[in-house]
Amino acid sequence: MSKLDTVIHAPNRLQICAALSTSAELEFKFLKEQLDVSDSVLSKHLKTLEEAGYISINKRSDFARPRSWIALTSLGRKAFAGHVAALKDIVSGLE
Amino acid sequence: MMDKDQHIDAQAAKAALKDIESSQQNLQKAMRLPVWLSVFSSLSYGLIVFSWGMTEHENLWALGLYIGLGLFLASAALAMYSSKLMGLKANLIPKNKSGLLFYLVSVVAFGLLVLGGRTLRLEGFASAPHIAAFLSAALMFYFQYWHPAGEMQRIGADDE
Repeated sequence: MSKLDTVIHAPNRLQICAALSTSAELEFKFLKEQLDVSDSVLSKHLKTLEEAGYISINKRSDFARPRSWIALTSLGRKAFAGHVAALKDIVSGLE
Repeated sequence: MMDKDQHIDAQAAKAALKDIESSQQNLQKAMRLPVWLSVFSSLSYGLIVFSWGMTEHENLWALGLYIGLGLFLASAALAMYSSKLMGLKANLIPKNKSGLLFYLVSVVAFGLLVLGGRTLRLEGFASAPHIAAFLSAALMFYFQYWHPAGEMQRIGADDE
């Protein structure tokens, strides 16, 4: 049975992982607008996820301006899938 | 609520799942291509299927195949470029079960239409390429409009 992941479960981090799970990479500014949070709040959550090894942040220069691209690592995808499975188990009354 | 042992009740779990769903739906909506680009891309794909179905040594439909392919690749490049400008990159390779299932369904559906259109015409059903091209273009538009992330879950499925 899957277990809840406390790193992912915080509301903003849950939404970050959900958005990243549906895409290959998202840019920092785009993610910030999707979540409707400030730069500092997003940076804090991204740092937590990066320290857990769930996301990778690549700074690249696109169209002559620096941009940070964020992607779920394979460990992050696995952890997110496990977290979603755990939530579904709870809802279906298995826990 | 989550307690010390990391247990949450069913209501909180349901709310979390709804948040996930909502976040993924919003992202899919952001990924949706402009309608004109989807129409252009779908029609060029229909041209590929039709031209392939009609191509013979003694006709010029192979030219239609190359033109359709060029237009389709151009529309795909434009879609990727505009997405990159927005700050998002879609999965080109499926990375979860839903994506893999959608990929398989697409390959089978488009494969049957492409091969079916040509094979049936060679068997004597003259309208087969027309029908296959129409269905391919319609299916391409449907997939781009309702499944822009390339996953089985379609936009707005939860609202119905």
